Amino acid sequence: MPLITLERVTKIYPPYFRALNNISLSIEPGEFVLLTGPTGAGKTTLLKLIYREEEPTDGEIFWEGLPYSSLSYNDFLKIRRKMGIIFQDLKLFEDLSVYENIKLSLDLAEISLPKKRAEVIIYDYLERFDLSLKANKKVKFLSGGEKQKVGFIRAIIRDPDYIIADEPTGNIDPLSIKEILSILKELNQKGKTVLLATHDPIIIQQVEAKEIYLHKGELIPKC
Amino acid sequence: MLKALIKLEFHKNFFYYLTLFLFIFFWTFSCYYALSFYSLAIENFIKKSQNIEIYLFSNDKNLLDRIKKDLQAFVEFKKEIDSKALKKQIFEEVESTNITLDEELIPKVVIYKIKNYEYLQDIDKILKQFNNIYYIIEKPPISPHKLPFISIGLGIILLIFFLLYLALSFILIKLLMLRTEEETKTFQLLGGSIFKINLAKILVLYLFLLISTFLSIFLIYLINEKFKLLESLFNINIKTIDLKILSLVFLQIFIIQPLFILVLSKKC
Ligand SMILES: Nc1ncnc2c1ncn2[C@@H]1O[C@H](COP(=O)(O)OP(=O)(O)OP(=O)(O)O)[C@@H](O)[C@H]1O
Ligand SMILES: [Mg+2]
Repeated sequence: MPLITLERVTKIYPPYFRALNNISLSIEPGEFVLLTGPTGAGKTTLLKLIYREEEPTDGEIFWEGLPYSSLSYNDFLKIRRKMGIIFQDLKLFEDLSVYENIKLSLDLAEISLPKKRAEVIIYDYLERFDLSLKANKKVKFLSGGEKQKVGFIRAIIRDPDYIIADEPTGNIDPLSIKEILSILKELNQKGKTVLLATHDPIIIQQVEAKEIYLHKGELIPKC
Repeated sequence: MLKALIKLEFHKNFFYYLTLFLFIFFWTFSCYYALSFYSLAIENFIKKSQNIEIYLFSNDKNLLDRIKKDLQAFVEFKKEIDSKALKKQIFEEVESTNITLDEELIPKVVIYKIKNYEYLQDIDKILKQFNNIYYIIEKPPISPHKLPFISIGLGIILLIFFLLYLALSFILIKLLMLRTEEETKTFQLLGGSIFKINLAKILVLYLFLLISTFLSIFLIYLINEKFKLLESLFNINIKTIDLKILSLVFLQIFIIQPLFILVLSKKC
């Protein structure tokens, strides 16, 4: 059974802007999916529908065969706790430190580790992204690239079963991009589902994955 | 999760809560004094409006004694027919002074206080019978008939004061809630439950309210007891925190505010 299924999904932003038109697709568990397309194609919109920040105007989305409309608020919270989402606009808590932002992600996923253990794991990732010296700095004082790294760590720290990454590499240097991609691949090899939206040709080249190409809200079959 | 949320709430909105805290603090403070003034004023009005003061001027001790006897007889008579009068002491000699500048010319002044306003005309009649005495009947500044209007008027002022407070704190709390709307959404996207998010907010808010109210009560106590501030400034003696007012403050902490926060957090 597919993990996520979209059936003739249309999203119209008020007053009248058709961001997605009649999209049908499915994502299997454990798949690595690349969501590509030019700016404004509707990639972020599609992801928002999947993690249910937005509701479709028409059509239905299914999670493991269950329609979203039948899932209660609390059911969906449980699903979200297993998701690691990297938002295009990051959505970090600017007044909290790097460490607190990441720790909060663990807390909200209701993952309770001993304090020391959590600290070790968090510092491990910070080390990997060269951020350990900034652990106690407020996020608002970080550079764009650094913020993006924090957003990435926050998403994967909770060991999510499903990773939704919206343009996670926009402002980052090539070395860190490599790091991010290798972590994503690693996670995928462990059986996690990865959904990566990007328009960066370098990434598209580097990742071997099923590609979903969007253009002006339409699904375009790639030859 | 709740612990993390409470920590974050504290962290994020500390200055907003501080503003609210100061606001509540000063409000409780001024509310206490407004209420004290209110009860004091009413008490004063009641006292004043019931008293008739009679000033008798005469050098003739016998005459004064006769008048006194007549007045007493009148009061006794009233006591017999008027059961209400029995309950309160209606006749009292307040002062009897000799002004010693010139014994011959300056008369002795006797002041009687009669607590029943209704007897004004009767007393006037009695005193008129003695034609060689000079007397003044000091009427109360406010007639008892006006008393209900005055207390209602003062009550309305107090009510406006209270409504103003509600409106202001409504705006303040609303601001507090609005500021974190975007973040509340992020919390939910990360899997945080809205119930716990609100609970954290409410707990923190309530904590600030509690602290501020108790702190202001403590300060009121301190100022009243130690510094006698009002007493020295306005020559007003406000009793130590009396139960009436304390219960109002507690009503505010334990009923009005929690309801208020609950309604607001539902709305936001
Ligand atoms: N909340 C909104 N209200 C109205 N229009 C919106 C809203 N969000 C997105 N859009 C519009 O929908 C279209 C698709 O937006 P979306 O963010 O999904 O594009 P995208 O493919 O993610 O682009 P990018 O590569 O730049 O991130 C855009 O034209 C955008 O202007
Ligand atoms: Mg986008």
